Order: sequence, then structure tokens, then C-alpha cells
Amino acid sequence: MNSNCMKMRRKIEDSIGYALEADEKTEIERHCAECESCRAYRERLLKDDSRLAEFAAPRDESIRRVQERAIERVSAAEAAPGRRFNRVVAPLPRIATIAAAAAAVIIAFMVIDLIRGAHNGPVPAFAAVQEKIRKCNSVIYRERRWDLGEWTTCVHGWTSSGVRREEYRDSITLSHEEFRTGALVLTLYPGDRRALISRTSYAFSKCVSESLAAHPVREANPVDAFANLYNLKMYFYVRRERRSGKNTVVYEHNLSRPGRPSRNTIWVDLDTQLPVRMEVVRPLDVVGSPSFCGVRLNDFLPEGSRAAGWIDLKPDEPYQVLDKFRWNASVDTSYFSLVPPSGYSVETRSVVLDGPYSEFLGDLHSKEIVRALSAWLSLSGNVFPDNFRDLADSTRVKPLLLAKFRRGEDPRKEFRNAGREASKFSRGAEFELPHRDLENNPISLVYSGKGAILGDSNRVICWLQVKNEPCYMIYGDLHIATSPTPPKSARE
Amino acid sequence: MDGGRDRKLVEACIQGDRQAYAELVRLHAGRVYAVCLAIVGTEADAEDLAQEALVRGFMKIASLRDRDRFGPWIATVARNLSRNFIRQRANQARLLATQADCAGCETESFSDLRRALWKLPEQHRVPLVLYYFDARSTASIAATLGITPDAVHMRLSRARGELRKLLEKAEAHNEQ
Repeated sequence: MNSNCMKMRRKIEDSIGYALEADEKTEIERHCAECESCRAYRERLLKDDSRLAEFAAPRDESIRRVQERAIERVSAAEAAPGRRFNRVVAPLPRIATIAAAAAAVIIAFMVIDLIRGAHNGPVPAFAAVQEKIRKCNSVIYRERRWDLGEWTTCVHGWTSSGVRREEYRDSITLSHEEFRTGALVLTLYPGDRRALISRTSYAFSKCVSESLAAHPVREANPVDAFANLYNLKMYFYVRRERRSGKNTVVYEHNLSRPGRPSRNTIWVDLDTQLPVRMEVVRPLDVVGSPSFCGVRLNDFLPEGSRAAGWIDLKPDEPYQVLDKFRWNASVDTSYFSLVPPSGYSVETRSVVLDGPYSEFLGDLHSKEIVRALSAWLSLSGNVFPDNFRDLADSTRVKPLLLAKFRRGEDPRKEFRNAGREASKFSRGAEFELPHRDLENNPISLVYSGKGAILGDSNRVICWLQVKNEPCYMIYGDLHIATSPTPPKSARE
Repeated sequence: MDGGRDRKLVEACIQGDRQAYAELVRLHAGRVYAVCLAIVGTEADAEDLAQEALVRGFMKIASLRDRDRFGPWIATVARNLSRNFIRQRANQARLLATQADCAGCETESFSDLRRALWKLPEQHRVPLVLYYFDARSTASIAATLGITPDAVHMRLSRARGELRKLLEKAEAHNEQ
């Protein structure tokens, strides 16, 4: 192929689909008669041409669908565009329109700059926010939480000296907690001018103490504890936002999965680099006490009652909102004082909290299982579940809860009662869920209660054994007995 | 393309006559679909985008200054939508992979052609697809794309040459 061929091929490409001048056509024909390569090239191009024609031919079926759907959507469109956009005055010249648009953009930027003030600089890393929090001596904020179908409000206060304050509608609680040893709690009832001082000392058993020692938690500073509570570590920058008259940066801690929104969003003031607002979104079945049993307020509402204000949260709606933050607030010393105000009648109680714990985790776990089984039996007419996992299966537990508690009376009250009952399933059913304790202390658990009815004191319904501990057996009348080894049938 | 007819229909539409817009849809849906197909490469996406372009056209028709030029205008809307669509995909390579995969659902004889076609730059691919779609009228393509007929001719020639090279490269690769 020579340079003439290159030139000729360009002409051949030009010729496809076009009528050439007679002399050009003759030139191509003459060249192709002599050059086999260019002749073959022309043939291939002509073949491509026919294949392209076949391939790109109008697709009548597709076009018909496009026409039908577009016309249908246009017919359904709300407004006639002409009435909205039709000009009454003559249109501006194009140059004037461009100038006006440019001016609008410049003005918009100026306004944004004005609003933002001096803060066009870099966004602080969340570690800087965390560090700022650590340096604070106190924080006060309002928490609104959706709980059992209604919003509750509490004003919280934390100090670095170890005092926590919770202010509810009728009472104020101040506590000074020494983690793992005890707590001092002062509850004030301003309406009655009454104060209750409660001194609690913990006397945990050996196994609980060991378990706590194995999972040390650093909560020396309650402001740190606040940070730990909301996992203020793994947040990522999302956007800048103007909020409540402040320039803020929005950070997010997002653990959502499809269909299960789970997200903490925090707004940080750019001036102080401290949080000013926080919203927490959780899956609906986690929000409120009924948790995994799947019972919702809506399940108790009469038909058509949504309009009256009986509504659930929307799936992506925050169930917890923290706002009105005051960091290092200058408050009166009495605000965090653990001494009752003058004029209050004072009652003092001392409690030693040793809990229901024995030396063994198996004992603790078997009691929790009995609690869950009791709840099931009370709902099912004293028939044990076929499988242990039924205790954690909302499709099985929920209908039983609804059958017992849905009476068509006060929906909120019924919902609360069902929630309370549902909570009894929680710990027992956790044996079906991944659990940190189970990783460290593997548990053998065997259930054989299918077909059993409450009362058979000789039949072993379930047994469990934590590594290096005795075997705990739960019988048909729900009494618990221990043995050094599992029952014979189970071992076989 | 009949500019006078389009003008009347556009003006009627701006006055609130939806039937007039339906008529515009019937007249231009094919070309709009072809533009989308030439850019995104898959029939299903092209259908959705063409439909969206026509609906947006309806919503914004009052902003059309030159009412004789509804065809080029709606083609631009479709082209921009299709480009945005492609931009939204993670990257062009993935789209090409999808199109290459889609070749399996095409008649076997077109799979190589399709693959080569979507390796062409958009400014060559769109006129080439429109050329065969639009009864080989360069004037119509020129009006749709807002370029001169000579420019269309040049792009078509370049596109054919490039396409041939790509096909030969693919053939050589297959023979190996």
C-alpha cells in the first residue's frame, strides 16, 4: 500500500452512500482495478455499510413504546407548561440573558460568602472535634427520643468531675457513678420539694467481676463517656450546612444496610468545633422496646386512625435528636450539686447490689432462658416452642403478643404492655444471636422441648454448658438442676 | 424536517394543547431514540432516556426560542440526558463491558459490529447511527446535531474508516 492508496482509501470512505463526481468515480474504479488491496477495502466498506444499515435500522417496537409512554406521561403531567412559562413580554436578547445569569451567579456567591462569614477554609477532621470534646469540662444538651410510640424529652448534663444530670418533666436525677464500685444518686421532685438519696454499692460475683475486668472500659471523664456513648470516633465528613444561624459541618457515622437504615449524623459548629446537633436513625424494629419481636404501635391502632396522629416513625426518620448543646456552660454550682437544695424533705436509702448472679455464667444464662421460656408459655397456653430459635423469631412471637394484648382499647397502653412482655424474650433469645460473651465463653446448648407441656418435672427441656462449668438442665416445670456432665441422651 | 409544521405544533403546545405535543412526540420519537441509542448503546436504556427527554421537552417547551427547530432542540435534550446517564455510570469502561456483554443477546453476526461501534468516539458514532436510522439523509442529521452537512459527511467518512480498522483488529484477534 503506497501513499496513493492512502489517498484513495480516504476517497473510497467518502464515496460510501454518496454520489461522486464522474471523474472521481472513474479515478476510484481505475485504481481498484489495479490495486487488489484497495478493491478488497472498498468491498469490506460496502459490506460494513449494509450491515450497519441492517443493525441500525429503526426499531419500530422500541419507538412505539417510547411514543406511548411519553404521551401517557405528558397527558398525566400536572401543569400545562405554556401557562406557566408563556411570555407576555418580548423575550430578552440572548446577550442580556447571559449577562443577567452571570450577575445572578456572582450575587449568589457573594450572599453565600456573606452568610458563611470567614469560614471558607478547610473542614476540621473529626479527630479535632473529638479532641475539643475531651477538653471540655461539661456539656448540657436536650435529648428527644421516640419511645414506645411517643416522644419523650430529657435535658442531660455531664461534667468531667463525674456528675451526671438528667432532667425530666417531673424529676431531676443527679448521679455520681464510680464505675464497678458503686453510685450515689440524688433524685429531686421539685413539685413535692422532696429529695431521695440512694447510695448503691456493687458486690458482683467472681465471674461477673472477671468478665468486667476482661473488658476494661475507660470512662474516667463523663464527657468522654458521652463521646463513647455515641461512638464519636468513626464519623466522616458529609457536607457544610447553615443550621440555626451557625455555620456547621455535617459528619456521619453510617452503618445502614439495604432496608435497615442505621445512621448517626452530627452537626459541628465551625466556630467552636463542637457538636450542636445530633440525629440518630435506627431500623424500626430496633427503635423502642419491642425490638426483635417486631411489634409496632401501628399493630394496635384501629383502622383509619393514622389521621388522628397515631403514627409510627418513617423508616428514615431519626428516633433520637440531641440539640441545644451548651459546652462548658456557665451554670450555678447547684446545677450539678449532689446536695439536696434547702427546703427539701430528704429520704436516704442504701442498697447493696449483688444481683442474681452466682459464680457461674451458666447459672446466669439458664435463668435468662427460663425467663424467655416462661414468657413464651404464658402466651402459648403452656406449650413449649418446637425450636429454641422460635424465641427469637418475630414471625412466631409477634402473633402471640398481638393475640394476648390487642383488645381494641387504648392502643398506646396495649403497645406498652406488649413491649414489656416482648422484652422478656430478649436475653434468652440472644443465644440465637451472635454475642460477645459467647465468643469468649463458648456455650453448648441443646433444646428438646418439641411437643412438651409445662409441668413435666422429669423431662429435660434444654441444657447448656459453658466451657469448664457444670452443665445446667432446665426441666419441663422450669426448675433448673446442675450436673457435672450433660445428660446421657445428649452425649450419645 | 418540516420547520413550519413544528412551529405550529410548538405554539399550540405552549397554548396548552397537549395533543399538539403528542403529535410532536410521534414525529420526533424515532430520532430522539436514535440519539439516545447512539450514545448509551443499549436498547432498554435508550427507550427510558428517550421517553424522559420527550417529557422534559414538554415541561420546558416554552423556553424554546426558535420554534422551527424543535427537532434539533429535543435531540440536544436527549443527547445531554444520555451523556449524564453515562457519566453517572461508574466509568465508561464498565459501560462498554456491559455493551459487549449485551452482544450475546444480539444476533451473533452483529456482536462484533456493536462492540466496534461503541469504541468509536461519540462525535463519530452518533452521526453514523443516525445516518442509517434516518434514511441516509445528511441534511437531517445536520439539522439534528446542529452542524453543517459537510461536517456530517466528514464525520461519517472518518467513522467508517475507524470502524473498519476496529473490525479488522477484532478479526485478527479472533483468528489468533
